[in-house]
Amino acid sequence: MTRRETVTWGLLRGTTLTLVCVFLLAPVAVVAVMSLNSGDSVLRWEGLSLQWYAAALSSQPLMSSLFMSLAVAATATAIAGVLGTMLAIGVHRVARGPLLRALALLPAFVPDIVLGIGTLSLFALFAWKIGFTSVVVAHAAFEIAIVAAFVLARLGGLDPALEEASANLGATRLRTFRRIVLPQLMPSILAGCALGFSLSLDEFIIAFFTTAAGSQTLPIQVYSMVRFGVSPEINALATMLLVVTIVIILAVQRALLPLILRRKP
Amino acid sequence: MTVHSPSPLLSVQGVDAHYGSVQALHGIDIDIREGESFAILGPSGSGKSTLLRLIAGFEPVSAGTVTLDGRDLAAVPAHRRPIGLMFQSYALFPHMSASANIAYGLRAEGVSRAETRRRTAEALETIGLASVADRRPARLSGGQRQRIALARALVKRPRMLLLDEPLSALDRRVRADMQAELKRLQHETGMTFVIVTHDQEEAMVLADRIALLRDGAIEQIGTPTQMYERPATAYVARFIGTSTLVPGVVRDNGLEVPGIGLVGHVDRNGWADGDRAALVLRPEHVELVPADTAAWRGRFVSASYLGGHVDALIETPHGEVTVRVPRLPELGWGEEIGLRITSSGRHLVPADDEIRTSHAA
Repeated sequence: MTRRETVTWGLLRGTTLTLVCVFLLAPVAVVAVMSLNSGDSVLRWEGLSLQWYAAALSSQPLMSSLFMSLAVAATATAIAGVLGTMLAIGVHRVARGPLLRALALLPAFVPDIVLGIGTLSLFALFAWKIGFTSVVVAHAAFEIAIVAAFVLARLGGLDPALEEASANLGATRLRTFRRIVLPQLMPSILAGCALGFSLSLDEFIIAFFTTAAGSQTLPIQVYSMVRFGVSPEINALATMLLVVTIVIILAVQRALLPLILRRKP
Repeated sequence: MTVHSPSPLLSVQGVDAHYGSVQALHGIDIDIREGESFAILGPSGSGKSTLLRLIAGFEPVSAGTVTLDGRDLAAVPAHRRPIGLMFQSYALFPHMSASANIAYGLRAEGVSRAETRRRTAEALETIGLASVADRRPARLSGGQRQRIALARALVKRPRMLLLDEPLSALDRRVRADMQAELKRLQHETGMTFVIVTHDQEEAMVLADRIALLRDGAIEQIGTPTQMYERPATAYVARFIGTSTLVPGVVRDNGLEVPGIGLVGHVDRNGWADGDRAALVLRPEHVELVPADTAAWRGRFVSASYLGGHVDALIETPHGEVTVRVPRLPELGWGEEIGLRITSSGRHLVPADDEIRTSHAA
């Protein structure tokens, strides 16, 4: 390649990269920048201020829905972590063909609206009250499939001789599971949980169908607020969530990826 | 040295094994003595892996019994059998260090932490790998992994050690070292070894006795010498070492071979006149002589120089014959040469279908 071509390619690559970044990050950047606006317009910059952060943190509806979302995501993820892992192990042991696998992973692919209406109907059928429990159940349903998908992929790569080796060395099935199988599945379980947690946190459609007035999750609350115009405090809250998300992603990359990669035999 | 105890350490009697509708083993009878190095040899699909898994307790027997020290193992689950196993893949726990791998079995057994630490350190010292104690398996070489796997099994002081294809995963150099190490270890500890392998050379070198399996049944059990010099069947003769099987009919004091004549002085024990049999010719049982002095003639195909000797391949009407000669023969390709059977090679096996078809072809 000549020097000229190299320069041309470099320019082209630089431009493309810049455009992609702008396209992907511009909306996020607008939210972040405007959250620091001192005025109450979401369009016009009037000066630097942290007042909307204060407003968001002191907004009772926003904070209670945020805690609701966190509680829902945490509970659903905890349930999914356990049940998803068990589901994956069961499917891995029993399934000979692809049908059972597909069935196990189905809830992750079912349209959210179907899952939402389905959960609503189920609760109506048994005359249970819609609220925290119903959102958790619905979110756990798709999170289980997500965790199971991660764990199944890992199980496929495990040497079945490891469990036999453990038994041969005198370990009971329980000990084998705790000391040999579980530690090797842990990175996949955590990765599945991290993804499930973040999907649950900002999930709208299912939550829309399965929450009641007093138990609204953050996305529902934000939606009901923006119907009457975007308030800058929502920008502040969104920015805080963004920072938390970035921290989680970095933590997953730092902590989990080496764990997964190191396991290559 | 083989220790002869009055009753066998491991006794497999009349064992059948079924996988669904497929029968993997038929009526297996094997007695393994304490301190012995025993090889279960066979091609893939012969049932040798099933037999190993069944002794280890990973598969149930469909019929028959497996006893260890006279105790029936049927009701003893895998994790309670005092039988060590070195897996073909080694099956080291990838998330544990070398020392944690060795300690695992001791902890599972309920050995105290202090005692586990002591015995683990001792085991690492013995195999000369104390310096890599904290490394995970991914950062160990093939030979090191195998030694860790061996130490992990032996540190529990099992009654016997099963070795699944112990040398197959190693490259040629490490193989020879490991082979010597296994032999030394077996002699020093007096541990009973049961080696499962498809490699007849591995079995011949490592074992005091060999059981050759074919299609789920035992074809022959014997010492390497017996298997090589007095194979019971044509299958054994073909599987162990290099051989040419020359078919004929038993008559007088020899075997009448069409095209060669009467080959005398065969071991006629158990044979009657008129029996169809085949002479087992090993490379060292045949010598090359001038074509005009021999009744059996062939054409020179190739020669392989093997250091101390040369294996010459001669094409004859009775099949290809490998002849061991001291140095490269001065023969051109396709040149006619005579073959003479020396007095040492006079063992007969029953002729089987394969011999007749190959000869007819």
